[in-house]
Amino acid sequence: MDPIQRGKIYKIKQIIRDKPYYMNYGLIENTIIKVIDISSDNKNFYLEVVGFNRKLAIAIDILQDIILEEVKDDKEN
Amino acid sequence: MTKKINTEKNLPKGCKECELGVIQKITIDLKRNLKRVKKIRIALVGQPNSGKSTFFNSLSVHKVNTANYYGTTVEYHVTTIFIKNYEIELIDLPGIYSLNYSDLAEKVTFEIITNVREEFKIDGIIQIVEAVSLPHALLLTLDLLTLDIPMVIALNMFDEARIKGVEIDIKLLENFLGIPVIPTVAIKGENTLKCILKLIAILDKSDYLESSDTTSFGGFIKEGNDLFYRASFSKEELPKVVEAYKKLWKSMVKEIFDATNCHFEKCKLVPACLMNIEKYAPNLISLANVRDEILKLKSNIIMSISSYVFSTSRPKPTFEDIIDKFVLHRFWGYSILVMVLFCAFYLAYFIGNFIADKIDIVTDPISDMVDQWAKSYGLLAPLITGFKDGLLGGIGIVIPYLVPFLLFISILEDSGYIPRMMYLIDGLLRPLGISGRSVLSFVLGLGCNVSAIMSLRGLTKYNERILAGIVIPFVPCSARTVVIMALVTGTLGVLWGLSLYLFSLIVIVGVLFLINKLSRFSLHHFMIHIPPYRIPSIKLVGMKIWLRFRTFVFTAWPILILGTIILNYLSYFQLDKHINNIFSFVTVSLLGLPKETGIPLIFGLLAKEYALVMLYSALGTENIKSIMNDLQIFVFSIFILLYTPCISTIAVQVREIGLKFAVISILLSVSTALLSSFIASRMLSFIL
Repeated sequence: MDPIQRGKIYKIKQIIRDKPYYMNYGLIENTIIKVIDISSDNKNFYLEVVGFNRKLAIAIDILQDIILEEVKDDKEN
Repeated sequence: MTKKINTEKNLPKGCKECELGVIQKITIDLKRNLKRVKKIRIALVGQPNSGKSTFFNSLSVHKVNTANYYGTTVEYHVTTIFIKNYEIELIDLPGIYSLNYSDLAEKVTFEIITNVREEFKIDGIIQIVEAVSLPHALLLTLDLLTLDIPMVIALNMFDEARIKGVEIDIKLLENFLGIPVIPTVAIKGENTLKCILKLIAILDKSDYLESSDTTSFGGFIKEGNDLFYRASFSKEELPKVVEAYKKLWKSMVKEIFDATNCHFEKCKLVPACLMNIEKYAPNLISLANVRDEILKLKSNIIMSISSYVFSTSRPKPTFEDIIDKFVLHRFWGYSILVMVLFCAFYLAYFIGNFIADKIDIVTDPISDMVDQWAKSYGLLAPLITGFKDGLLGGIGIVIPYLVPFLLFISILEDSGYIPRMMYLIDGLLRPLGISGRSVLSFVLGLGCNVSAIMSLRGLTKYNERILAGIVIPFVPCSARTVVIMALVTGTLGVLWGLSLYLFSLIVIVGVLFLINKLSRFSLHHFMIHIPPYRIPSIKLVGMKIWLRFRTFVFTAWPILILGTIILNYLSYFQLDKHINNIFSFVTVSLLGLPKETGIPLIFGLLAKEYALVMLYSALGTENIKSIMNDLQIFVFSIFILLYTPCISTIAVQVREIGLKFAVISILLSVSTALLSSFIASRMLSFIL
C-alpha cells in the first residue's frame, strides 16, 4: 500500500495482532478512519475514527499490525 | 422520619437535585433512623474522559480533580451519600476502555468491578458515557452487561452532544440493552441524582440479579444461529442478539475457568479471561480464534445499535478541525506551543507581581508594628515574629504567584490542548526513551510533582514509567515557580526567570539521554485519544485551583509558620550559626552563597517554597538584593530548583517506582544541583 497521506480516508481491512487492544481505541476491522494530520517527523498520525466520533494520535508503527485500504471520499458518506 | 426523594418535585424549594444541601439534609434526616439504613456500593465506571469525576463531584462533598484529557483519575475515590433509606458508598474509578485493561489505572477499575478486591463488593454500576462518542462507549457497555450487576447508563455531556448535532434515540437504546439510559450534564449536576435513584429502584426489586444462562460456542452454531456470519441486525433482533452475546462471552470464560487454575479463580466470569488467552492460558490458544469471532460479533452489534440510535449532522470541517490545522501545524504548532507556555509564565508572573505589590502595601506596616510590639515580650518574641513571618510569607510571597500559575495550569488542562501537545512533542521525545504519553505527566509536574508521578500509572510500558518517574522531579513545580518568580524574575528580570525553565528543560533532556544511553529502553506504540476542545468552566477551574491551593493552606502553610518560629528561636539562642557552619562547605565554599542560606535549604527539603520564605526570615529582610548579589540569587535559585525532590515527592516515588529508583532520582538531583550551581557560580560571574 502507498504511504499514509494527510486528508485521505482509509478502511481498516485487517488487524493482524492485538485485536482486543486496538479495539479499545475504536480501531476495529471495517471501520473507516480519516487521516487529519501527519507529524513533522512522519512518526505519528492524527486521525478520526469516523463511526465512533473519536480522534486519535497514533504511532505510524501500528501499520505493522493493521492493514489499511484506501477508500474514496464518497464512500464515507 | 426519613425524607423521601423520588423525583425532582420532592426536592426542597430552591434546590436543584445536585446541590449538596439536599444530600446533607437527607443525611440529617437519616441520622434519626440509622437502624433502617441499607448499605450499598455503587461504582462509577466509564471510558477515560467521560466525566466520571465530574459526576462524582456533583454528588459528593469531597471533591476530586477533573480535567479534559484521558487518564485524569489514576486511583479510586470513595464518598458516602445518604439517599432514601440507603447509605451509598459511591466510588469514582479510573477510566477503562473495556474489561481488557492495559495499564495500572485501568487494572484498579477491573479488579474492583469484577470483585477481585473482596473489600469492594459492587452492588450497582453507573456507566458514564460521553454522549458524543456513544458508539465507542458501547464497547465497555457490552462488557459490563456480562457482569450481571444492576446497571444504569448516564449519557453524559448531553448538552454538548446536542450542540454538535448528535441525536440519540434513548428509548430504543434502552430497549436494545435492557437497562435504563438517562441523559445527564454532570458539570451542572443535571440528572446525576436521578441516575442514583433509578439504580436504587432496580436494586429494590428482588429479581434484579436474574442471571442469563451460558451457552457453548459449538452448541450455539449447531442450533443454526448465523450471528457470526452477519454484519448487521434488525431492530427486533438486537435485544436477543445482545443476550446471546452475553451468554457466549460467559461460556467462553467458563471454559477457560474450568480448564485452568489461573488467577481468574477469584474473578467473576469476565471477558478479560478471553482477552488474555495468549498470556494466561496458552494451552487454550485455539480459543483465541473463537475470541476473535466474538469480538467481530461485538463490533457488529455496536455498529448495528449505533446505526439505529445514533446520528450526527455535524457540518464538516468543524471549528475544531480548523483550530487543529493551526495547533498541529508543522511550524505554527510549535510556535503556538512556545507562545502558550511563555504567556502562561509571563501572565502568571505579571499578575502575581501586581498582587504581591498590593499586598506588601498592607502587610509591611503590620509587620513593622508586630516586630516593635513583640520586642517587649522577651522569650515569646521569636514565637510572635516567627508566626508573623510565616503567615505573611504565605500571604505576601507564595499566594500571589501560586494562584495565577495554578489558574493557567487549570485552564490548560481543561481546554483539551495538552493531548495535542503530546502529539507534537512525541517525535522529539522518542530518541530519549519516552513517548508523548509522558508529556501529560511532565505538564502536570509544572503544577505538582506528586500528581505527575501518580499519573504515570496511565503508561503501559514499565520502563517508560520508571524513566519518567526518575526524571519528573526535575520539572519546576508550582512551588519552585514561586521561587523563580519572586526571587529571580522579581530581582533579575523576566528573561533570567525564563532561562531557569530553559535550563530545567536542558537538564531533563540531558538526564533522559544519559539514562536511555545506559539502559536502551524500548517503547510501546504511542496511541492516545484526543479530546474535543472545551471552554474551561469557571466553576471547575475555581474548584481545581482550590483543590491544589488547599494543600498549601492546610498542609504547607502551618509547617511554614512552624519553620519560621523554629528559625527565630534558633537565631534567638544563636544556634543557627552552628547549623549554618555545618553546611558552609556547600553554601559558602562551593557555591559562594551567604552562610545564612544553610537553614533555608534544609527547610526546602520539606517543600521548595519554604526555602524562599525561610531565606527572607534568615536574612531578616525581604530586600534580598541588600544582602545577596545577583549572581548569588541566581545560583541559590538553581540549587533550589534541582536539589532533591521535596519529601512528598520522594514518598510517592518510593510507592510508584520503588525505593531503588527513588534513591537514584535523589542522587541524580543532588549531583546535578551541585554541579550546575558550582559551574554557574564560576561561569556567570562575568555577566552577573
